[in-house]
Formats: sequence, C-alpha cells, structure tokens
Amino acid sequence: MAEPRRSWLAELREADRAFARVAPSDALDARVRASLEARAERSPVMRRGLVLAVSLGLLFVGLRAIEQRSVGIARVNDAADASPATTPSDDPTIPSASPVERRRSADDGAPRDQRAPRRAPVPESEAPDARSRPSLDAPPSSPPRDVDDRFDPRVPWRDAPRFELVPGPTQGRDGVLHFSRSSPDAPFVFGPPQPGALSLRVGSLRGGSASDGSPPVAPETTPPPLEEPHDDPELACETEVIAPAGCVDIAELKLQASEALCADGLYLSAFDVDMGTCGEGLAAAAKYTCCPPTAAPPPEEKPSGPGEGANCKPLSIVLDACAPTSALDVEAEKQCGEGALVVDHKYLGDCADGAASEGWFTCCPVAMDVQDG
Amino acid sequence: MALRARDETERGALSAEISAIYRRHHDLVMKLALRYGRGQRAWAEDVTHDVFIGLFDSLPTLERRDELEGFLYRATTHRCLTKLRRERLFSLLTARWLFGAEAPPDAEPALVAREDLRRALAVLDVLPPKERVAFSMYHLDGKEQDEIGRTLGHSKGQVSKLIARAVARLRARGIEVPDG
Repeated sequence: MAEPRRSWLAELREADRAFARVAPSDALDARVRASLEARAERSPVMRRGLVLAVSLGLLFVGLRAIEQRSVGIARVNDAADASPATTPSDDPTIPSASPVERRRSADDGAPRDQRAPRRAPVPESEAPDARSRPSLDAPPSSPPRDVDDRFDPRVPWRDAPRFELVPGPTQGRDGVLHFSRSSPDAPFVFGPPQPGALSLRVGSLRGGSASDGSPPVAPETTPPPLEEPHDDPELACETEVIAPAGCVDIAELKLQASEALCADGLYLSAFDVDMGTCGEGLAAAAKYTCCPPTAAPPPEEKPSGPGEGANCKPLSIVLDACAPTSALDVEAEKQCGEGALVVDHKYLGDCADGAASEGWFTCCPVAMDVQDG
Repeated sequence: MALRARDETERGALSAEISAIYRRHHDLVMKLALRYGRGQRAWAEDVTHDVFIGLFDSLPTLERRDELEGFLYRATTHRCLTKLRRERLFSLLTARWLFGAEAPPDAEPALVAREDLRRALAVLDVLPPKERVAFSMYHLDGKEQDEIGRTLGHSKGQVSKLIARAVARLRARGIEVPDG
C-alpha cells in the first residue's frame, strides 16, 4: 500500500538530486560578485553613517513639511482674522475701501451738515474764521479705493481723502502735533502734549490748505502771525508721496515728511496715509503736502488783559524733568524780560500736582495803564 | 588612516573568502532553494544571493569554519521559510484581491524535465510553509527533530507536532506518507 507513496518521496529526493546539479547562472555569479565588492568597499561604519544620514534627511524633510503646514495654517488664520478689514467684498471688481476710507464711510454718505460732529462743535460766532478752522476731515468727494491698489492711478490725489492741518487759532504757536491712535478719524491734532500719544514737536505751525468748514480743534488764543502770509498757498504747495518697502509706523512717516522732506520755508500742511493691509498704527505709504506760510485770520477782538495784543509772544519752556510750577514761572518771567508780563500760562507734563515738565506762557508788553495803575 | 586601510584589507580578504565559499557550496544552497521554491530558478537565485551576502556579517562570528555546511543549510532553510511565509501572506484571498498575486507556477521544465517530479514538488504546496520545511527536513534530509527545532526555533515537541500535522494534511488529500 505504501509502495506507490514511497515513490512520491523518492521522486522528491530525485528532484533534489536534480536541483543539486543545477549550476548557478552567470547572472547570479555576477550579482554575488558585485554585491561582495560593494560590501568590501563600504565599511559597516560607513553603512551605518549612510543609514543615519538618510534617516536624518527624512526627519528634516518631515519636520519642514510639518512646519510649513503650521505656517500655512497660521497664515490662513491670519487671513481669516484680517478678512473683515481687508476684503469686505467678495467681488474683486468692486473697489473696496481702505481702512481709512471705511472709517469715514459712515459719514461720507451723508451731507456734511448732517454728519455727527467728531468733536465738540464750536458756535459759528466763536470761530475766528470758518476758512481757517482746523479740520482733519476728508473732502466729501473722496471716492473709494481698491484695497490692493495703494495708490490707485484712476483716483486723482486731489480727490483722495486726506487729513489737513489748516491755519487757525493755533497758528504761530509752539505746540505739538499729535498722532492719536484712539481717534483714527482725526489722527493728527495740534495742541499740547498728551500722555500716550505719538507727538511731533513743531516750533511754530503755520500754513496749510483751505479748510472745508469742519469743527475746529482746540481753539486757543490767536497770537499774530510771525511771518508774512502767502496769498495763494495752493499754488506753491508741493505734494510728495512716500512709499517705503513694507509697513512703517505712521508717526515715523509723519516725522520724515515734516523734518526731512519739506523744503526750507515750507511747512507740512497735509498728510495722508494709506494703511493698505498694514496693522494698526502702520502705513504702507503716505502723501504729504508742504506749503508756504498762509494768510492768518485776523486776531479776534476781545477784551484783553494788561498788555495783551498784537505784540504778545508765546513762550514755551521745556524741562528735562518735573519741576515745581513756581520754578517755571520764575523762568518764564526771566525769559519774557523786563517790560513784559506773563499773562497766560499752561503747565504740562506727566508730573505730580504742583509740578510740570513743560510750560506755555504768553509774554505781553506791560501796558501803560497797568503801569500807571 | 592605518586602521582604515587595515579595515579595507580585512574586508577585501573576507570578500575573497566568501567568493571561494560560494564556488564550493553554491550547489547545497541552490538545491534547498530550488526545492522550497518549487523549481523556480529566479526564486532560488534570490535566496542564494542573500545567503552568501549574509555571510559577510555572519562569517566573522562563526567560530568553526568546518561547520560551514551546517550553517549554510540552516541559513538557507531559514531564508526560504521567511520567503515562503511572506508569499503566503500575499497569497491570501484579501491580499490577492489587493495586489493581484497569482498562484505559484510549476517547476521550470528546464530544471525538472520529468513531469512526475514536477507533480511531486507540487504536492508540497498543500502544506503551510513551516510544516513544509519541517516535513522536508525530516523526510527528505533525514534531520533529527532536535536539529529541526534548532533551525526553526522550536522545541522538539513542537517539531513533532508540525510533522504529524503535515502528514495528516497530506493523507487527507490521499497521499500516502510512511510513518516516522
């Protein structure tokens, strides 16, 4: 019974003997030889080093991929965060308003006389001159601009929204030009220093283009002009555009425009920033206008104190540190000189009560009646 | 530098020694590889190549060079078993559906001219890889169960069960297998 099956095992053994006679092919010989030579040339250390290098390379590539994915996610998040401010419209053909424009949009749609005042309105009768009231409003005809086109060639600069500093009650006064982050509609204000505001100190702010009748800013006393006024400031004004690479602090742009770019004898009268896609307080470009001194409004007729009049001069004293206001008074009287009287004062600075680091004074010649009195 | 040169010299000498071993013992390795590879030359040559290249790492640790044939026998059997098990994994129904694997071909007529011998080889295909190897080592090579256990990493009792299971599987298919 088992005999035929024994032959099956015998057949397997015979097959084994046949296999033992099979000579390796030339291809196998060459393959084994090549592999042995390769192994002889590469030491185990080299092989381990090669494996280590490949592993590190793969690890590096993987980490880079993870990093890029993370950056991509962050960019998407940033874009999502910024999208309400930069892409108000899904239609790319519809011009979008810049951030500056959008801040104005609520008012621009209404006539000027129906707009809500941005500052406490001053009665018309109290304004020295409607033409010279300081205004930071944009002209009502300002068209919307494309977000991506920082300077749209289709929109003339003259029609573009801009902030203007016009001569007014502050003309001829030493003061500080503020950039206020808290009031984006009127970022530049002339007046005394304010804590937390970026300021550009100007010796005597003069000039500027015509006002459009917006409410005044901080009307103060109106000393007489120090220089001869210019009859037509628009003719002699120079307008330049600053477009640095990247986003620059607006205060820095303002400083450049005022100190470095306006020629001698000209004064910064208009400054318009294009925030583009920059963040708060930054701008991608700025357009500024330098103008010669302009005509000043006539001084307001009002009852004056002893010696106050056309010959009064402002005096500003700035100290490096806080000092008692009495010391400022003494210094003011000293600088006013004999024959003059300090008729007005204002103490400034982040100091304790009774102290100040800066003082504004008005020196007026001593009137005869006072002297007589 | 000297160490590196000496290292290169030693590796060159080792390569030459393995070449000599290959010329002397390739028939043993090829025979086993062709048996477990169902008479397929390419299959057997892959195993043969890997066995001799593996000597590059194993030969320096081999204490007695007179045991080289036994070492080659165990190394070849082990590599064939690994290759068979890998192929079996891919031949499973799901894997065949995924990878399109096909049934193993018959022995090449150029190597096994007789049809009855090819049929005899095909009979072994009914056995799982480990049973096939254990059965072949025991009935064809005359190895003791202890040695089979050392080669396969099993105890003698486990090897006995493997062989008994293989015999039962063959007998279930009508193939008579002599006892022990």
